[in-house]
Amino acid sequence: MVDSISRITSALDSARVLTLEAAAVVSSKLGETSYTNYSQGITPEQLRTLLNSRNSREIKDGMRRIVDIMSSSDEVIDIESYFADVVKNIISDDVKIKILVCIYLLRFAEKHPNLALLSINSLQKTLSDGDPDVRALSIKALSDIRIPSLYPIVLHTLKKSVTDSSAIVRNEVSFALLKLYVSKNEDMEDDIIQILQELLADADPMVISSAILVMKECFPNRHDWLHGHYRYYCKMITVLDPWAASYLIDLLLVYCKTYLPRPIVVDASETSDTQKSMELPERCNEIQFPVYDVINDVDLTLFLNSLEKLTSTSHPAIILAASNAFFQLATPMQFKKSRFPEVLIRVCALSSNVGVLNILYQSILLYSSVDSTLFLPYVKKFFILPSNDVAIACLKLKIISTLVNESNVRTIVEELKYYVSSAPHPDIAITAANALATCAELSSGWESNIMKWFIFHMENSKLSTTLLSSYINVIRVLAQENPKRHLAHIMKLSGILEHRNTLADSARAALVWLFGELASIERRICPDILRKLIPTFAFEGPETRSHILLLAAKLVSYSAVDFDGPSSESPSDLKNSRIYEMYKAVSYLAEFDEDFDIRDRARSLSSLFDSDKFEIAALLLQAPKPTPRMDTSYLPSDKNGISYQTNISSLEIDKAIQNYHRFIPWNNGIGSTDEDIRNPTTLKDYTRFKKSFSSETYMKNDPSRSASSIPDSPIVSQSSVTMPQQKKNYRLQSLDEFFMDVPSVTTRKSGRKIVIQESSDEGDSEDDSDDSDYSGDSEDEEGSDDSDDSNDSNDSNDSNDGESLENSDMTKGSYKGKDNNDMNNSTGTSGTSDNTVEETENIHSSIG
Amino acid sequence: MFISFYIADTKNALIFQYLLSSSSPLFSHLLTKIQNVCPELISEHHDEERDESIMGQDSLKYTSSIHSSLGKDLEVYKYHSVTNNINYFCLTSLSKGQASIEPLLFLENMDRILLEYFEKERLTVSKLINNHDRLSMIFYMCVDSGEPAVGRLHENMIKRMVPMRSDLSKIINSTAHSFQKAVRQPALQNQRLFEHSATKGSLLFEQGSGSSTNDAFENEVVPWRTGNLKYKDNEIYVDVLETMHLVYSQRQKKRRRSYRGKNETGAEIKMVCGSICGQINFRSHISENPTIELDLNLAGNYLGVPSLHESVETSSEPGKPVDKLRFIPPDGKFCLMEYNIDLDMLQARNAVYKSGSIGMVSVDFQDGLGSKHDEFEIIINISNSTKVTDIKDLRIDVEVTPEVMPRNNTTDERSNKNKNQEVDDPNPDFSEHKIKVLRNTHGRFENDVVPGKGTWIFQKDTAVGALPVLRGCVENVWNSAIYVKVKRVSVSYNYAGELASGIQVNAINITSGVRNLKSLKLFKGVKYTTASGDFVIRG
Repeated sequence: MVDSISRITSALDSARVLTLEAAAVVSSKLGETSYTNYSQGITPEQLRTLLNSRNSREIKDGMRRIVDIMSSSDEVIDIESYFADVVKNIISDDVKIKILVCIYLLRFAEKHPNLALLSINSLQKTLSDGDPDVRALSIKALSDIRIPSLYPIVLHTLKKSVTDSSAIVRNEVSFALLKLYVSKNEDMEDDIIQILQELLADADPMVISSAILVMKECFPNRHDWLHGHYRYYCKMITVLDPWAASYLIDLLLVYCKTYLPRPIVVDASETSDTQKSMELPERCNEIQFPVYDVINDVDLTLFLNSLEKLTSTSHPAIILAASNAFFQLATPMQFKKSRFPEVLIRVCALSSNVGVLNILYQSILLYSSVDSTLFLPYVKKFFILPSNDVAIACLKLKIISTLVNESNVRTIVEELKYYVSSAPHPDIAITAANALATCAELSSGWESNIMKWFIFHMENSKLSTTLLSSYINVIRVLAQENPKRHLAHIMKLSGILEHRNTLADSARAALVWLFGELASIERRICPDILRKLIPTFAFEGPETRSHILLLAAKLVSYSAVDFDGPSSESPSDLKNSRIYEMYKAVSYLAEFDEDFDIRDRARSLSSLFDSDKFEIAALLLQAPKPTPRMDTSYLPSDKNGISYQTNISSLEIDKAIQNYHRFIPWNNGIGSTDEDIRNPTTLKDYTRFKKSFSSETYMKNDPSRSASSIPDSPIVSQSSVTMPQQKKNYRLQSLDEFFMDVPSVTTRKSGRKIVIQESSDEGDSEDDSDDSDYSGDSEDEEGSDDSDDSNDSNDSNDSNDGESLENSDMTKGSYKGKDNNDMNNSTGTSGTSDNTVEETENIHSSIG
Repeated sequence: MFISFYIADTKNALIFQYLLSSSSPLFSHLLTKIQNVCPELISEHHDEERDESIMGQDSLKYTSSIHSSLGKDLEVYKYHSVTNNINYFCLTSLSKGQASIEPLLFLENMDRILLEYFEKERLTVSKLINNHDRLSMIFYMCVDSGEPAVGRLHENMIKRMVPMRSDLSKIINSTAHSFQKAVRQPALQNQRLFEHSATKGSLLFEQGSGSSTNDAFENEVVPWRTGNLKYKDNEIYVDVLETMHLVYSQRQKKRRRSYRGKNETGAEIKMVCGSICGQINFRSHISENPTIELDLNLAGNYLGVPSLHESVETSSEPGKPVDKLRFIPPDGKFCLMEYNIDLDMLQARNAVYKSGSIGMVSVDFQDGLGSKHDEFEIIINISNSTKVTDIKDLRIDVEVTPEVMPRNNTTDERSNKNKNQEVDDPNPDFSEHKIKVLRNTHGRFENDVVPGKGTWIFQKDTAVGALPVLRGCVENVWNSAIYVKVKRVSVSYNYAGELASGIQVNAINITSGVRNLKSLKLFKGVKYTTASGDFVIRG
């Protein structure tokens, strides 16, 4: 007994060890890294075997290796040599293998057109698959193969698929159109336009999204196509894909400018009798009324209102597009009311993408430079945070300088001074110094305050050359505008020049130059400065020496004017004057300079003065120099007829962003027609077939969001052919009744339905011919193949979606809840063969 | 139009490339081109390296680290993902009149999609390399004909087309794991555990990514949620993260007059600007199509115009505070809401932050202490809280500068002497100096390579209610009277349990969309985290 127990125990023990090992092996096998190691060990021969295997697991391993090589810099195996081995796996039932083959095709099909055609047949077959995802994938793969002879087939496919019941397939059709258009085959353009217009008229947001993308890429100027969709799109804009929404806003903006009357701004400060009104000016800061009302077209209001619903989006592209729309279409008051300025601030605060921030801040700078009130409440949001990128910090400073006014100048100046004195990067300090100069323009009090501070700062801290020269620039601007007032500060500068021997050569040179320039305005102090400079001439740096020489020459030239002037004394008097003597001394020193440039300059100047050519000297030395432009010197109040573009260019905003915000002119030639061109067109709504428990409960809960409920809005329902009515009719009517109700369906539409039948035929006939190759893999497949004949309607039932008109006489209840495969299809039509089949067969035979 | 995508690490070694046609360049080719045309794009520290000669040319230079033109009609964009520490590159042909925001946004978007797809906090290089096939498929799904695949960029659609690493492996893994555990147990328990692991396996089966049948798409109620999901354990997790960006300044005049201790009232510290950035992340695994209502207690904060996930119903009145969110959540993790509390607005500050301190840590410092005026002291005040146990990763960066004694602080005689000195030698050479710690109560102090900078590093956890103090001086090697000035103190820390703004989640409820709502077992969890972003006190 004891013995048996111990035996059992030992058996259990060994079993335990075995299990432990097995578990360890299993878990290690499943690790990703170990798989990668295994995968990378596959030899070229093994790879070929794997790809040709019948086991889908092995094929998958092979494909993974192929894709792995494609997406790494690994060039051990030339994967292009496996083209045929890879492409034949397109028939695989495994979606993953299929996608991987498609990725391979996308990359290499162009290089091996003949071999790529191998895959066409099986791709076409899956175009009528039951799963919409598979259908969409087939369209995508087919259109990705860039072989010109294939384009007609793709186009034909698209014509059929554009009426597919599944939105995902119709969405894919748009992308295929884009690919066809890019191929630049002009014969197909008409067809592309026709299909695109059908997609634009779709009711599903997913399809509209992709159609808008195609329109933006291929036909950005055909805004007339939007007439019938304008109001529907305005309603739908919140449910569109964010990318598409931003494109749509751009398109609608141009549309509004072209087809809607220009808004009228009415002066609200006057009484109603004497009210003045004007058209919305090009730049929103040109409105002259302090208080005003705006009269918009109804459709413009609709657009702007729908934009306001987008404020809660997190997608910066939408926010940028919407801000631009308000910037161009509305008054600053409306812009503010839309809360987009606040939204821009929020995105800037939350985003960490430097590139995006850069664009957003540049846009803010542009808006703010046109109307500073937009961002005035958020001025502190533009204070620099330590983690800000240099570029961002500089943009923030430029924005601040557009926002300075009497009430906030104190805080701003204090903050800017801090940046100038302790910025981590010289660019920031320079921009901040320039911004300070803008603050100084506000009032003379601030001007002298800032000037004083700059000079104090220069005296007390060590500064790099670039910084110093930017300071001197600022000081020069400030001094040049009103030199009399700043005389005291300028005197201080001379003190710096006198005492700070350690100052860098270039900085001293700049100061000397500054006095030379000041000589034209205030000459009295200059000779004294020159006098003090002469004794130390030899110890100065080369730049300073050169500028001392210039200063001396300038002084001579200015005093020559005096001597030439009213008293008209002879030049000899001048030559005896103190100034000329000082010049002589400097030029004598300069003639022995070690720098040949200075020597040369001294001689040329001397020859001018010696031959009494003071006019020429005056021309050379007294040429008026423009006031250095501050980066931020653009002020919105500038009304000297300088065009907007040049003003903006001083802000150094990227070209792309400037172009994006470029003002689109209003179309003044809109004739008032009685006909409403924006009368909604019929929507092609396929969702009406959709009926599932969840969706119904959802729609009940939330009518605001479902696509089908949107056309209930007053504007769309004005039209005679509204969708919801159609929906009701459609469900209850029999097929015959439906056809009696002709006006609601265009004849073209029914024509298209015939195409669907053809598509099913085509798929079927191919299925029939190729069935034996692959359909044995799964029972289910076979089942569906058996019930064949009208697979297409079968497909649509799979997806609980009706597609062809024939289906409509079945009430929903009759097929809901039934299994896909045991559907009885009474509507099958035995089709006649059509062109595509012939074409594909041709290709088939050509491949051999 | 996109031509190709690349993912590279920060040393520009290729991790992954996705080329949209046979003519797209390989990464190695692109890299050579970039090195010739625009080396700033791939240099790691473009800011430091930039010399003064190219400064002030034009504004385009600022974008050179993220975008560059490689030739006619060819642009390259770079996005650096901070969370994953990898770079994304994409090559595009010139877009028509669009602001170039699109490629940058798209790369950012792809980064997020990958994170959400792999359900990770951060992606490692090896994870990406191991999943080349998946990455290729994701890119294949997200990019179509060189454009973003609009309408199909939802996470659930990507997951449907690119199924997660088959759930079977997870089951086997976990079963193998429980086998191991079971076998290690005493033999008697074997059987029971065997059963347990078996049930666990089947449970995992059910937990898989919902129904994978064809009608998943057609049952879809909203585009971001796959229809008819089934979970055995229903869970909702809400993570609220707030980051504070605060800049304070201490007024100079007052400080110099004040004596130690006076500053502790905090009266002299003035906020220059401040904001709190908040983010509500939502993670859920719930069966069917629930409508969830999240009730927030805003604690009097004004959130401005927060950004909401597309699933959230927007309120009809634009000005209304956003305190109730109703939405049908996507499966898995997503960012429900992001908000920005503007602390500069008077109304905001009066309402909530009367006490003056935001966050749990406040800092005071004094300089010019000691008999020689060369000492400084930093006092940290960590307030008490019942919800927070400790402050994590507290670090204080200090920057001090020695200055020549200011004139007004000295006698006339001294000042005259100083003035004379200034002519000859206005500043002694301060390029080399070190901070010396005289006394500190917590943590350790490290000097930076940059003179005058140092970091006071605390233990991983610091208990609330503590009052750490650091007193230090600058090693005086100049033998002249100097005054040590604290230029800047920046603080970084984080803690869990409470938000800086005081916002709280009142309730999370499923209001509809689930059958048997009553019997539904639901786990809900809320986590609050506060972190400091830019938190600086200027001297």
